[in-house]
Amino acid sequence: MKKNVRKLLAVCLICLLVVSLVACGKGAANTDKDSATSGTSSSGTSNSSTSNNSTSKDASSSEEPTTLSAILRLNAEYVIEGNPIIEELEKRLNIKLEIEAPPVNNYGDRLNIVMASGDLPDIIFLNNMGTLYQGWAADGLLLRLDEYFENSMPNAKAVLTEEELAHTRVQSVDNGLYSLPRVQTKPWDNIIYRKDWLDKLGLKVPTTPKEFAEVMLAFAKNDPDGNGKNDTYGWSYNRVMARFDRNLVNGFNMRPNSVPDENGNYELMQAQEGYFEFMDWLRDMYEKGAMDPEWYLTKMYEDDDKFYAGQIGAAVTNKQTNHITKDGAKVKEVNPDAELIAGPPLRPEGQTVSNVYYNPQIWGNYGISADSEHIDKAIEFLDYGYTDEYNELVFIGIEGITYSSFDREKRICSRTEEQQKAYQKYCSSYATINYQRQDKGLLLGGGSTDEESVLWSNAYEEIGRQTKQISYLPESMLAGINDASVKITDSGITTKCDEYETKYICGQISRDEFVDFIKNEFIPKYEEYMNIIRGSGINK
Amino acid sequence: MRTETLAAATSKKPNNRLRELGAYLVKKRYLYLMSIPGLVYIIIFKYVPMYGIMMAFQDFNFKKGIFGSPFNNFANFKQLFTSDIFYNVFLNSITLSVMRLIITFPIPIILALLLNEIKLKYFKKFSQTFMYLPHFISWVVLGGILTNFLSMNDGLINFLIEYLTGKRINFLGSAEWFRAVIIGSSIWKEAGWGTIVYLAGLSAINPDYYEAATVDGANRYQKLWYITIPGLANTIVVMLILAVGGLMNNGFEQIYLFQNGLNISVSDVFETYTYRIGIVGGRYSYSTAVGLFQSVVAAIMLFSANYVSNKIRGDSLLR
Repeated sequence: MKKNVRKLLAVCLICLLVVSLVACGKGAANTDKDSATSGTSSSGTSNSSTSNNSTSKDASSSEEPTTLSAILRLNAEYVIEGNPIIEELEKRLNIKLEIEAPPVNNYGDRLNIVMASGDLPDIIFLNNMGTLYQGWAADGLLLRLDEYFENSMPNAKAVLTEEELAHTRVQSVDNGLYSLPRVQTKPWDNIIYRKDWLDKLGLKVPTTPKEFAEVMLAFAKNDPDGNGKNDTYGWSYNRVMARFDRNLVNGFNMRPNSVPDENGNYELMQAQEGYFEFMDWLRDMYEKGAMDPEWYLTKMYEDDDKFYAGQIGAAVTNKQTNHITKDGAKVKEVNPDAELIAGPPLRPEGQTVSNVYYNPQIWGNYGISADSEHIDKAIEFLDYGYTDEYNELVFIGIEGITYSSFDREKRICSRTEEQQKAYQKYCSSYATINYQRQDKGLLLGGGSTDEESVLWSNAYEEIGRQTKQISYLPESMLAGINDASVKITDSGITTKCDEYETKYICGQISRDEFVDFIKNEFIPKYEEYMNIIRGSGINK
Repeated sequence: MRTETLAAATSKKPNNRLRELGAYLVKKRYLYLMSIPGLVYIIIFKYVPMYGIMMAFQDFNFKKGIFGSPFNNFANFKQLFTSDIFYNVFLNSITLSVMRLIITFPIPIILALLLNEIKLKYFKKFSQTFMYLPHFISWVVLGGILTNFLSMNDGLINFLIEYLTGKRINFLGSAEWFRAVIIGSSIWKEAGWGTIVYLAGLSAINPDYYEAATVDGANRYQKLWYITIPGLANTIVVMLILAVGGLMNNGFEQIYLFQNGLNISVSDVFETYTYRIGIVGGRYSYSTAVGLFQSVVAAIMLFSANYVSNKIRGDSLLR
């Protein structure tokens, strides 16, 4: 009897183990499915017709909506499930969107894995125009768009210039167009300062590297927050986001690798005279304690967090002066008396405007899977993305839900508190396909109240007056440059350069050691790279 | 007493072998049935994905996939062994791993022995739980906590050091301190959890030995030296062999979180290198080659440790 009980128990345990294994397997499958469709929103079935000069999207209620899958880079606050904006978009195009949205910070990693899996969604935000993108195009993962662009994408064709399209053409595959660029209005780069700190210390907004260093030192040493503690710094150098931030390097007359000097000579940025001046300037500020002593720990936007927390008094940004309105609110959460002011990019002594080099502002690119079963619908979706109608819908939203009124001329919105919350959940600049109007103007100005709007507009205009934008094409679009770049990366010299720069700024190596490394080790590794640029005659 | 084993069943005459093996399996059928889910798991999730190793020998083509991509005559390995950065990464990985093994391996054993000596039951349970807790905190969170503690600006530890010595130490921004931070944080996070195996080993020691030793007049130190440690020896050897097998693994998260421009010369290990080349750079074939090399070295170390254990003690994990 006992033996039978033991047998029964053993059989039960085995069954339990097998069932749990199967259940785990199913659970995993469900989880995958859930995660893949977490962004799925229910499709609208009603017939919606939206007329527009450029588009007319008549979705027939008699037709079943086409399911389009997409991998998109969307901010963490953005809600996909039950999003009325997405539902409206689905109605307009008679589609059902299944959106996968990996976190912004490691979107690139996730995208690389998706591309390597070969199981691609219909619409892909590629966020890449370099070696990887060109490899995906050459391997046949992406649909070639040239013909579609000419014949079936009137909106995209009306908006995108050849200069912009050049960035997404793949020279190694017959200069084919394998994605369309997400173009952004050229921003006014600026540096945001704590105005209350400047006022308290009797300082004015700095415009040159020398003035900037003096103000930063004062922020660090003269107790600008008045708490009696030595707990503030001027600023934090975020090299992860921008090694040669335009706001800073223009003050040292540095120009991009692909821009020749007045004699037509191309020079690597590290080979230019201004580079060592820039490094000396950073080292001097570090040594004097004007900048965040742990700037090198920054992985993403930790410097912004320090600014919001009132630890540093200046933030270098390209957010079109949004820091003084949208992000300014975060500063006020910590210190309600905080006031912000936007300053121009730094300029050399004696100049009245900052010469800022801008390449076409392409913030990622959209492609379509070559294996998509709904190519026509995906093309239609992407083309619609270049209309004001689409971009205003996903970025500004729907009247009554995300705003109460929208001034199309001033490009400002009024929102109630509830609408503001809905706006943050359902709308996002990340969701735009063309982050500008069809006439290349701003989609939306800064500020959500009249007061903020005036503040933002004044700052925007003032920075504009003090900035001269110089357009150029980057070398990334040149044939062969990516292979040369891979060789450089493989040599480990870029990692070593990071180390040397960091050590030099932090005073851990001498100037001679640093200069010797840059001149005798670093620059020679770029010989082939620079020869490609020289041979191309780009930007001459 | 009847002791029948699979080896015994299969060591008889060939004519009888199959029949006896069958009888043995029928007799032990429930044990073997219970092992099936584990075997299935290992086959599906550990062995089947191994076909991906082929990528190391190919020019991987995204469209053609692993089975369609062309082989490239070991080009990835040639590139690997001629790369300047590779040897630095290899040296960093080995140095950190060996240091970690030497310093961290004995800690859980010592902790387990100490815990074993605690007589107050509730205090013992409390201590165990308290020591296990950091294991359940992710490296991302733990990294954030440690960064705050060790910060030059406002870190608690640096406040204490400054109070005592008058100066601060740049733990996070110096190559000299990187390994100490990594090893120290590893001990903090995993030493408590590592005691579980040894405590289980200790509970398996027959209490009669201790009683007999007490009767013979042995003191606590003698009991520890002559009963407890020999009783734990097998567990220690098995754990050591496993630890040597994992010698090439430094873990990605922990290293990546503490890596920066000032310590990159010692913090760039295989995990961060393959991440940079593979996931960020999208060069899967090359990063697979690096990973394969790492695995081969780890396997060699595992078998070497096993061989040495067998020779010295006549006992090992794999025979």
